[in-house]
Amino acid sequence: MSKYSNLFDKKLIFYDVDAVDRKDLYKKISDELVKKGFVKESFYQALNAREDEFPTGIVTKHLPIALPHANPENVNKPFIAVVHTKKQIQIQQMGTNEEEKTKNFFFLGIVEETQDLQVKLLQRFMEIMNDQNFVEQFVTIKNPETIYDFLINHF
Amino acid sequence: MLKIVVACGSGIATSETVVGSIKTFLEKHSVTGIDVEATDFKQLSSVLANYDVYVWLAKPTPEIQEICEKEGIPDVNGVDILTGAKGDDTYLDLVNALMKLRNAS
Repeated sequence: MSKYSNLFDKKLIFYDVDAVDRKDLYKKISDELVKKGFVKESFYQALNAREDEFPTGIVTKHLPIALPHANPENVNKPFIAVVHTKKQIQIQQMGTNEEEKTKNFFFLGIVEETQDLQVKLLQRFMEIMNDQNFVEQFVTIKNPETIYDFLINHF
Repeated sequence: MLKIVVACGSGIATSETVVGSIKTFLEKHSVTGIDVEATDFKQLSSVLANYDVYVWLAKPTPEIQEICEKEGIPDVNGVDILTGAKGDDTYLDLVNALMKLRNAS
């Protein structure tokens, strides 16, 4: 376990989320985050505006993912929410705006005070996504509790 | 002193991450005299001309492309650096851009 592990939260692992499209998914997750006090009501709008203008889909070596996030003023406390959807969700890729389909979303709540730590976490995260073993194991886990344990053991 | 700018949508998450990766890469190869900074896309057009290399994480607009062409600023795909998925070739574009500048100066 490292200093990054406490950025993960058992309550913020969502498996098999039923969403018809990106906006539906972002609404459902934003509502949960508001309810749990992590973000402000403005988060949902900001998240979508950001995604429309600057997409966050990334096709990593072994898994297509997305890293939805919004500006710090919409966030109350730092978090990373790990979300798996039941169906493939269509999004666009960062940098090229090409289409991408994915079931794996990592919502990032970034605040200025912990930005440095969170940036290091993101660096570590991208590194570990290139590890075939990690990814192969990660995609087979179906239980939020186990996903949480798996993640904090790898960070 | 060469200056690299990394730009994403907000300038806080992915661009900072890529700044960190580039700094680590340069340090590992004992390269000094290169500044690496992050910015957000909204500020980019007004500051881009002050930099030597532009690393993009958001699709460059025609306006940005025009500045790059006019100022002779090479642009580098930052998503490859973010993911590191290209392994040993991850920094190839960046190194090529820096070499081009060195040869031109």
